[in-house]
Amino acid sequence: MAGGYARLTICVDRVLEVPRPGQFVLLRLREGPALPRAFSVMAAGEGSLEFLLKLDGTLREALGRAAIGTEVMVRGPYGTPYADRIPRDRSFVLAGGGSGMAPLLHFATAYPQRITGFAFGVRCRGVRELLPDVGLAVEEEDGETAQDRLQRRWRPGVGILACGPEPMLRGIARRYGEEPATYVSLEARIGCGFGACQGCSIETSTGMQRICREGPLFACSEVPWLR
Amino acid sequence: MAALTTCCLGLEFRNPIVLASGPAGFGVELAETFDLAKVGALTTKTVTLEPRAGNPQPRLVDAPCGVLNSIGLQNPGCEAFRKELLPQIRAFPTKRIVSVAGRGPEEVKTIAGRLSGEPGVDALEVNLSCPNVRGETVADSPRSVRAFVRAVRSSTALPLLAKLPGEGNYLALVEAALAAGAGGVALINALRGLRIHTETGRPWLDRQTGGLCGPAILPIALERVFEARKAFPDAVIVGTGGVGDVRGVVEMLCAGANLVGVGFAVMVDPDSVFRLEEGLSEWLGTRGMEDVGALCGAAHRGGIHVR
Repeated sequence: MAGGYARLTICVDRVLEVPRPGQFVLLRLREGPALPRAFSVMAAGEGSLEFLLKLDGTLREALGRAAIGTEVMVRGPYGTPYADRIPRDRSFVLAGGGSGMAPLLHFATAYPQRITGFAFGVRCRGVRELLPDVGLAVEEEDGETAQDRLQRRWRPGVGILACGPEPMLRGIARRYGEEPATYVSLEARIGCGFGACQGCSIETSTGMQRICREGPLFACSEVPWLR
Repeated sequence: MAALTTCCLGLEFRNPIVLASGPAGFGVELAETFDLAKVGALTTKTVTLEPRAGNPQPRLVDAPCGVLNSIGLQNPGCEAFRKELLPQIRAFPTKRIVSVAGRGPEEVKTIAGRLSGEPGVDALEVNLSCPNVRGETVADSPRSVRAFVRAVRSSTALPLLAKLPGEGNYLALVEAALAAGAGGVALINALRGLRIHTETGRPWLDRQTGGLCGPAILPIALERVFEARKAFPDAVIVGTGGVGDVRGVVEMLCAGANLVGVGFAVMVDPDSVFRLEEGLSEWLGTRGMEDVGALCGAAHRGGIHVR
């Protein structure tokens, strides 16, 4: 734990399809809440999964503070991998805020050749200890945010993959939403996780889509309301 | 092996476990992973005449021992259902109950008429109690329940269930539904509830209120089913609300349900839902019981008589 975040490793004892970057799993602790919650994967290996958790909710805090050996129920992976939603012939700047950095780090590990830069930001410097060195912007140090960093890293023709708090995504959508390859990874309270319950459905330019199934990544042009 | 086959509504269900309308969607995603033959029936998400987008986000918020949902009857509409979903549903190796709703009796009558005679529709469930839509889709008086059920009854010969609320004068609604020609009732729908965001002081859900489901409502659902069975000894009752394990299934059957609906548990852990059949069979087996039918309404007969 550091800077209000925790890095969590879960060993998976049953066969679980290895999550691809952008996919998430549902986690639940015996003591609740009753409905599992979705977490993007930061790293996935044979038999283990890593997560970056912001310690600001009941389950996230409980998971962050869980003792080694705590049993966690894991279900998934779900969601469309980022790589299946973006053009193959383009490289990207990864723009991540807070725990939104997790799936982007997963993407960076799997596709290093498709990345032209990182625009990652957090509020508190402590988070540095939890992450690989990707040149993190730390707001409490010099006031710089992920969006400021993105402005310096982005060049026309380069795509953007963004994941983070909604105000950050809105800012990016307003500024780069007209560009042909700006993508945002969206969040909602996921229900079943596999596309049946419609709990996470959102309005898009092509009708209702499920964050857990067609998403979580959407082209900015599909979600004009974000601007 | 104990017999789990349950006959009611003129149909033979392989076991008394029914996927309740909502969390299972139209069953298409579940069928990719699970063997639908392990449940007695699938109840589809509610189909309306025209497509509905449902409510804006947020649609779900946690509650102690459950969740509040306000999906708002999102569905592709009757025509898309018939053309795109029904051909898939038809192939499911279980009974298929199609949930329908409409703005007024005439609209539901139209939908029921269009679905009647479609292969793959084994029964209809008219949803008269969605907690997440406004106005005329909801029947909250015996008179409107009667009007809806009569209208549907007049346009189809399919077995018909009325999905009723657990709030208000529900026994009067059960009576009205049965008198108007429903073959049975599904009790209860999610209960209207509210959660407030403590940082903003505003309701969590965009639509403000939602339907509470999950283990939190199990005791309430059991009481409603128990009372309904007491009042209507011969009615077909699908007991729904908070059941997620074998004990819940047994409780619901003993309270008086013929069939047991499972909803929230599909969202939590679908794997466990498809193991209920095995679990129920084992439960009966270890008690020397040969037929699940012995459980139905046992609470009204002084309990389970162990051999």
